Amino acid sequence: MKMLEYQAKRLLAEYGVPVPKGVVCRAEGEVAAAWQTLVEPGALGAAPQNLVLKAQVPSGKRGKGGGILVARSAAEAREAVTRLLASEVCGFPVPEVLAEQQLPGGRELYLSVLTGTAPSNPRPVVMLSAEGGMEIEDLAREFPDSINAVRVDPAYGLLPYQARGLARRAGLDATAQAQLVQIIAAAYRAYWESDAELVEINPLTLLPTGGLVALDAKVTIDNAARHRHPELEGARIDSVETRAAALGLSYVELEGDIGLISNGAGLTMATMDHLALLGGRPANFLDTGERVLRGGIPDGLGLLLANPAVRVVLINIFGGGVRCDVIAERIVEAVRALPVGHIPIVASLHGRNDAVGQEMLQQAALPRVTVLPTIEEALREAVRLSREPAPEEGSGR
Amino acid sequence: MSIIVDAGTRVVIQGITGKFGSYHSQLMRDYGTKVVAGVTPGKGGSEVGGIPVYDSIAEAREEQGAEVVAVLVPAPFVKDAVFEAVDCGMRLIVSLVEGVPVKDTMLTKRRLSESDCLMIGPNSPGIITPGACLVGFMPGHVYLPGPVGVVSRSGTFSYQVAGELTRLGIGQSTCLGIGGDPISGVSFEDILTRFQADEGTEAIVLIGEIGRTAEEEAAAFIARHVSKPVVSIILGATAPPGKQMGHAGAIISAGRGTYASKVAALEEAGVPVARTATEAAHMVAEVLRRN
Repeated sequence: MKMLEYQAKRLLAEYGVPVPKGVVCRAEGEVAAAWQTLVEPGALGAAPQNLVLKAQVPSGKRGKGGGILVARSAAEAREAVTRLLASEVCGFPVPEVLAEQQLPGGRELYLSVLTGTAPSNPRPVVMLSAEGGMEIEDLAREFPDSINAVRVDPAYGLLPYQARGLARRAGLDATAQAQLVQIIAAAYRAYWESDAELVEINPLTLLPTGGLVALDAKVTIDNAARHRHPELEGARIDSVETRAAALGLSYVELEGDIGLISNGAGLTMATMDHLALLGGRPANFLDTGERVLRGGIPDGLGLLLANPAVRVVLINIFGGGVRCDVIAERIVEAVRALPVGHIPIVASLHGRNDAVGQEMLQQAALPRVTVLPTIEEALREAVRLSREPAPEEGSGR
Repeated sequence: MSIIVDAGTRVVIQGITGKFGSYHSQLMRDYGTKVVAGVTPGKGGSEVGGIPVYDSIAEAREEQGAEVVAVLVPAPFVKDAVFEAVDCGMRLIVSLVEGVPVKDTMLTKRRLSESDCLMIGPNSPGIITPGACLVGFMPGHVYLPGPVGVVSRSGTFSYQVAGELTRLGIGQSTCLGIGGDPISGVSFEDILTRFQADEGTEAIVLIGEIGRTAEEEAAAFIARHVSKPVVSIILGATAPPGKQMGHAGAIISAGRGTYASKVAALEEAGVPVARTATEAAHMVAEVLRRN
């Protein structure tokens, strides 16, 4: 689960990471109050203040995508928020805008904590770069010597000497260095206690007045651990992928025309690859996972039929724990219940009780369903059907 | 011959009283596995299909001589189940459930590093020595005893590969899945080492997929330490970057873990890369003929 910037900053602030003062605006009418809270005299000294308006979308490229605007007056702020709320940034609608005080620029650092997955020795890794403000991949290319990392023993957590060792190499004065040690420790605790996969503060900016502030932040939470963190909120992304995920299905839309339902990530990828070798074009990745017996087939078929690019559906199941005769029942029920229309369906069932399952599908004699004995034959048939001329309009789905 | 499990292996099922646990215990037993006990805290003294149930792994070990644990408890409880098994001195843990938090697996691996216990998984389809022992989900009838070791990140696709081998009359010594999560217990290298040492294994099939760098590391290991012929297949040639393909570990991120990089590493190590299960099976037939 990706958290939005304001959600990530709120979490980090709870652990003691300094963040700019901000207010989330969800409607034009909320901007005046935000302006008053953040900019009116008294909020941050006497200097004239600007407001930064940041579209809250789960993309690291929103600055380039026009998602960050600066306002010098309340009127400008209202106009900017109105514009952002009505726009799409990096392909996402913008339901929320974070209004923040614009802070004077300064040196920028990069700090992250992430799960290192080296097979032999997976450990949390804390990375600090004395340069910041660009993506870590670019930092690694342009300033490889600026990046220092420590690996943390998960049984003991980040030790103070490790945080001090990183901070010492950032080239800061003693006061800022001491503050950096605190921020590194806080970021690690936020990562560990929230079951995060990634906590990234970039840039971590040194203000001319001397303090460090997290100007931007990214946090991703391990989906498998969400049950332990009902308090955490993430970006609500409305896409066919997230709708499928809500049904317990792993779905990725591709550009082809052969709709695919399979069980197991590996088998699904293998089927896509094989279709491509045969000259076919898969329309999607869809792994029913353990939902294969409980809603995976009808829900999956529903998703595929809703994709206008799909010209043929291929169901390729290899039953390990699950029985093919039960799968066959599910397919028959789904095909009878859903508006399949003129879309042909090719089924390939293998593994536990496969002969029974194949026989049951044959016996059901569904007009649009073809059952073939080998996976290769089923794939070839799906590719062939995807190339047939489309039936006339109105013959309908 | 085989690796890790054989006809004498004595298995205890953690989570045996659940629907999932009881169903799979029965399938394993039907295949011939010595499922000697089950464990569900609070249900000690009962039975599931004739298998005695205990409150703890320690009792199952004491009373029934169990040495291998199959973990079939719900994902949030897997960490506790695995720590219990390690602390009781079990030889092998087969962690079959999907959706274990990565932090839990990290801590588990840390604990395992202090013991001699081996963990397959999490999110593994299990391990099978055809005709002798099944600890996992594999459909037993597609397997045949023989000389080919199969190690895979994927579950269902490895069944298909075994099925293709069997269709050509080529049996398998042992087949196992290391699991589709970002962090796994045993690595490809751990298994390759055992296949290399196993007298009953004459050729090895390695099934990888996009994401992570386990295949690149396996390729480097094969070049140095494996003299038996290896045939491989990498899944996800057509997967777009930046998208998670089902398995939590199957994602190409920041240019790492691509199909091309894995194929290049394997080919450089002298390992042919098949494009389909059928092709892989025929390549195995060919290397066995040549040897």
